[in-house]
Amino acid sequence: MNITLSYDQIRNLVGHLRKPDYEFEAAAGPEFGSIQAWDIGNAYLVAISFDCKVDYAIIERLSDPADLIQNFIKNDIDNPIDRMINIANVHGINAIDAAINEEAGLYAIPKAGPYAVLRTRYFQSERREVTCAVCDDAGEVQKFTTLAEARSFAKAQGYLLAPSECAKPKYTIVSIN
Amino acid sequence: MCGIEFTNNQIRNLIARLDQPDRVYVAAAGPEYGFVRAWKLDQKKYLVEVSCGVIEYCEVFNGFENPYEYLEDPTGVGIDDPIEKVIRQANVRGIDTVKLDTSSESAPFVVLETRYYYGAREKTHAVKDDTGDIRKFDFLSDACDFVTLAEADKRPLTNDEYAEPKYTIVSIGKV
Repeated sequence: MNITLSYDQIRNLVGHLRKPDYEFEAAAGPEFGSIQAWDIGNAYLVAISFDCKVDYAIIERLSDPADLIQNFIKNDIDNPIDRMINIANVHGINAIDAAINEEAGLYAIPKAGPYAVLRTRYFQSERREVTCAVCDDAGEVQKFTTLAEARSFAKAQGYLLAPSECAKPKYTIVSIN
Repeated sequence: MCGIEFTNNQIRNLIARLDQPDRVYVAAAGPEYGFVRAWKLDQKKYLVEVSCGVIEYCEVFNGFENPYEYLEDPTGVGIDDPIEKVIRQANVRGIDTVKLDTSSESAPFVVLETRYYYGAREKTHAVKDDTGDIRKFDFLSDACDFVTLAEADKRPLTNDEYAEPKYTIVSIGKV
């Protein structure tokens, strides 16, 4: 006989659960998203925390439980920059298909322009938060026509670390063609 | 109800991951005989695991009036045999809850033997005759004579027993 539990009831039950079998955090930290998963035989009971709320679900077993973090990848984002920022905040900036330009200490994508610059800030607790480095007054992403312009902008950025930052930001140039 | 549906196996696996339950009820004869563990889900409902010999199940119970009923009648369809019913009652709630109403007793009578083990377990069974059938007495006086003899027969306790057995006469007609 199957048993249906409401979300509130599951929340109360989860309070009784021992340590989860798997725990994953988004690269941007638990405030961005975290997942706890308990193995319940043929599936996982998962608690998905994001945007200051917690959802519960039963997810079928995955060959790699780390793939549970994919739940934070939003598939309904039309804007390519926002999509890249979402991926970077979930999986880390290296997940973006970027080649490292060692000479400049920057990441670069050898594709056609226009380009945008993403800023990765490194906080304590290994939290990496990715945002767009520069937006215009209307909040729109500033686009650079050439790679040289984008590099020049990234190199020119000064930085003052916030108290919770552990390293200077890195800039990633991405093609938004 | 808006929520998540769990299969029985998933609930069992989930229960295996839960820490201390909010309520625990153990049969007088010990956890091997039966126990009920309950985790509070909300103001009224509990997720309950009932284990009673070969019968084990998980359910959501609305309220929790008398958990021992689940151990006394694990199948939920009632117990017809009056002797089995009183033995289950003794093994679940304790022999002290079984009383012989001497004001209106009616034959036949059965003698229950309760043996006391370490771990606060008391196991009750009906006394049997040489053929292995439950011994029934037509007169209360005969049952009392049997108990007197049984109490006088000081057999050695087994290793895990801590007290002499206790004998209780029940009237099957009154069960």
